[in-house]
Amino acid sequence: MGREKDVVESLCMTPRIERLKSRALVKERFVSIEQAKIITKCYQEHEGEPVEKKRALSFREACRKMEIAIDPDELIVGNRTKEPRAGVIFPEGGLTWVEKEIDTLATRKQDRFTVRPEDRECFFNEILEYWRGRTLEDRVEEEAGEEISAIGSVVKINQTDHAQGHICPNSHTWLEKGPAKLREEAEEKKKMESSPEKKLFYECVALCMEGAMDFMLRYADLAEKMAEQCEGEQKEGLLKAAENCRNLARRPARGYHEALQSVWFLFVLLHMESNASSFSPGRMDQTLLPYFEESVKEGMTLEQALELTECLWLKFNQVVYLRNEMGARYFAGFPIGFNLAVGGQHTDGSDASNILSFLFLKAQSHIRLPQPNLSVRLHKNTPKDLLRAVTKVIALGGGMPQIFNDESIIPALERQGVSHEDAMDYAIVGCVELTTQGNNLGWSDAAMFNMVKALELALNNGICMMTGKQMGPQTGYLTDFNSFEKFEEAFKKQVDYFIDKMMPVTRIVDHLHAEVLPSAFLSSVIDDCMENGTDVTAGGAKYNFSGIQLIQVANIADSLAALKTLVFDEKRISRQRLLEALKNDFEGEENIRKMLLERAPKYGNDIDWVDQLAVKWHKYFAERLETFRNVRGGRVQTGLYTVSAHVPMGLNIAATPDGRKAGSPLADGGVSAVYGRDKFGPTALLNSVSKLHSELGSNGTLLNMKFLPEFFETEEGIDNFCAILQTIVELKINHCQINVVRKEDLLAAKENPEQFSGLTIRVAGYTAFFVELADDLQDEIIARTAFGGE
Amino acid sequence: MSEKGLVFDIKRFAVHDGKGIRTTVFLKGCPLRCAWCHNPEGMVNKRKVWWVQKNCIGCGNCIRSCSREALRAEPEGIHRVEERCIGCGACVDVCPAGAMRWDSSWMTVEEVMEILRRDRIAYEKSGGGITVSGGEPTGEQAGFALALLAECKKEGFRTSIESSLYTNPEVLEQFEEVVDDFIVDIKIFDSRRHKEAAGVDNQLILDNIWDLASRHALLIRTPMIPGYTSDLANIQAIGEFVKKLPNARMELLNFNPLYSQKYHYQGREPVCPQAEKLSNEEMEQRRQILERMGISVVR
Repeated sequence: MGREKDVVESLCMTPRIERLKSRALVKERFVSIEQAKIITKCYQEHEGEPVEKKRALSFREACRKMEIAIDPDELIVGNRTKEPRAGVIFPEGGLTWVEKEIDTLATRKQDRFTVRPEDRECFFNEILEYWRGRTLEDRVEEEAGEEISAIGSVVKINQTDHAQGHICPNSHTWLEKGPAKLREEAEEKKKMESSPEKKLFYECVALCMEGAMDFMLRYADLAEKMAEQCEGEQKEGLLKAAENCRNLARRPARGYHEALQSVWFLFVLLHMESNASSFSPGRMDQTLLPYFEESVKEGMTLEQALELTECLWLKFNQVVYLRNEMGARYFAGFPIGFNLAVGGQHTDGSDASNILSFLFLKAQSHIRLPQPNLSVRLHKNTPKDLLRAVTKVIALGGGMPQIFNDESIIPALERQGVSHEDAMDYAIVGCVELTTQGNNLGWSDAAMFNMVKALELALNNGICMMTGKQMGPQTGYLTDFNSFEKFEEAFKKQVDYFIDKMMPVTRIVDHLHAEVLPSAFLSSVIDDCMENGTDVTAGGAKYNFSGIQLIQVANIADSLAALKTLVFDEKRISRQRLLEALKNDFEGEENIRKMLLERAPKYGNDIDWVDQLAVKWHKYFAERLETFRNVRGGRVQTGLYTVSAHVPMGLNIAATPDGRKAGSPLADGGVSAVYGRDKFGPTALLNSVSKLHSELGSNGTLLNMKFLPEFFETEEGIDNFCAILQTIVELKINHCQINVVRKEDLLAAKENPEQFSGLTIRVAGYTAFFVELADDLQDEIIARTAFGGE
Repeated sequence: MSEKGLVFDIKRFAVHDGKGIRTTVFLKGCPLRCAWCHNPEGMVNKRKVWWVQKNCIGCGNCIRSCSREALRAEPEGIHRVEERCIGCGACVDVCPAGAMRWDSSWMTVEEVMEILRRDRIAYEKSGGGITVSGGEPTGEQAGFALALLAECKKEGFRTSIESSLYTNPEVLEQFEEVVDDFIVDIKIFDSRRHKEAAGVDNQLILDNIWDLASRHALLIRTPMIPGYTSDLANIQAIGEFVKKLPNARMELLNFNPLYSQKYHYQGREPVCPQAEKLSNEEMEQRRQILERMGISVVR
């Protein structure tokens, strides 16, 4: 493989890819209501049918009717809307929010979309009314709306107005069978089955596969038609694409080009069925290797393989996702989550990296767009040349690949009841959520738990300092506690109260997904659903988890450390004075705020007793969650990541004892230190992070680090960075992602966005265009600590 | 080992002080008085109070706490009268903002070791280790430095020192026992100019280098200080000396204009004029002069 790697290293982008890439950059995005019209019509025509069948029929109809387009340079074709990067309005998820927000979509702070006047009219005249009371959003509101808003200041319940996504389909199954074979299997099983529910399930799968086959054939026809108008390499490419589509509609994939096309169709179709975030390809360097090898035997060059790969990389950027305004703030800049992992180990523990791992890294270094969300699995025997290749791509900026650690993640998954074999084959969905491949509805984004808000309530007898409302139980005021331990008791009561309120709501939402959004197409590529005739939303998968994010350990540790030292131990600040200062956002009390900031030690500096406060409360939370079961019978796991929620969640929190002003962002990432407060360099930060129990973060954890580009300029710098990666592995830290950027460049991009439209930045488990992020999120990213300078 | 050293910084993740990822321990006390010194707090082997202007919120607690009237409020900030300060630390204790702070701490070898051990994995993975710097490790605190380095060797850490080598040859011999890699400075070759800029003659330094080079590989560094060291004649002269050494590499360190901040913390003006960094071309030109003499230059 050594010589091949050198060849890969030397490859350049082809003119075709350069043309495609130049057209991929940010353009105006539009709302699309085409599928909404098709779905609405289909539901109206089949009013008496069960919801499963209405969903399958409208999916088939969308495959047959949605307008399609091909760029004449494309070698991999297909998209879920005719225009790339459209925001699809999807009625079964929710329309009430669209009704409220349709006129601000074009001007809102984050993730803007233009609405064409005729589409707006159609939405109000033909679509909206039919769906009242039928959508997931409306059903959730009806069954749990009051509970959700009662706990809303602490708990954000997710997936209330769209399908779940966050799943890694079994690409092997799809590649090895294709829609034709899956349809045949579904028909056969339907014949043999006696249970009416299961018969219905198989019928729906078959309907979906009919749609999938027709979808592919339509692309074949279009490509052929376009080829007539083209010449040279475009004509050749279109004819090949047409042939591939035609083949894939009737038989499994053969060779690398077909396999890439097949994988892309799978993800387009999943998005069309669910309109959800984070369908993830998983370990594609493993899945596609046999297809790659087959093509190499037949004469495919590495240059051709790279060009094909890069065509797929560009396609991954054509799907974005329309969220409501609040959702767009929590998940800013389209973390659509085509998470693709390279490296890792085989089941027997040997290193699994192969030539495709290197080829994918090379593609990443050329394309450098937000998608795919490229991840690399490292372990203690990861070869040095892979570490170096990874480092060189990270050094380019853009935050990819992000690092995952087999040494801590595999034991964490096994602890949650995952088999050794499945744990060894883990992948990542969305941003950083850990999953087994092809058999797991992880529901990893069930809710976010704002523990810092719970801390605010514990200081103030359960009363919100921002609004004066009683939100939590009455557990006393800071002035009532004569010891730190007594304060911690009150804090525990607040946390318990909100956990106990949150869990029943997550069960309701989960259950409503099965009722409103059964997903036969998705189920066909998730293990055990086809075997059992059970939809994935109804618990048909082999594994069924739910994940709740704890937010945010750094602010918790810093706040508790300040209380302990300055208020309870040294008594430099009286309880009364601190409580008043917090309520007044330090107005007239800058001394107090400075003291909290400067005279109390902070998480992220390898100070054991402070770090242990983070450890303690993470452990407490995670172990409480483990006592619950979700509605699909699965376990509830804890995640430590925010996506971009640390900004909006901070808006909702009064001043905190860590010296944070009211409304300002929480720490970024999930296990990162508060921006700028980690002062002893990356190794100290890593040590602090490593004290958290990685096995209690099995839903995924997120560590942000920022390095200056200068650090990577010398061979020694690259070697040192490889050593940092190995240190992360040995310290058993689940995840890390690295931005390589200068503060000055970010400030310049903020000033002159038009000159920096291509600048990508790691936000939290995903990469976005920096200039597309709202101001406050941009500022938070600028404020993060940078390592590697003088 | 209960002897204490006066440590003015322990920098973890030091990647410019020798091979790999290192922790560098800075000890106070230096026999040189370089006009451009980037670590001026390392010159005098005495614990002092710093005033960090950017942290100061002007509350006046420090002035009220001072029993010796060593502090005064002036328009540009807190003025300290060095001669009056008895180093009691009352102002440090009452400062809410961390603006009044000690510039160094008294630490035992074990206390320092406790911090050094924390990055063991990173040293192992990168081929790094511990660097003792200053101030001057072979200077007033040589005893503490030797004890610390001996403990590092016991732990299996790779060690180096950053030294001016302005020290007694017998002291240097003791360091050879516990140091793996020597990083030494030749700032100015001309003896008279050296004395003018650094306060001492450089003969002892050059003799020690000559002697040490016969037994150890050396990394010889020259800081590029405009108006003092960066002129081509100086580079040429240093090169002529170094090329005769059996096993020495060189590294040129660019001027860092940010150094002046530390002078302000001490209530002093930086001695060196506000100069600019050398351009990449200027640095390259100087490296090439050395390389043409057959000297290996670290880039």
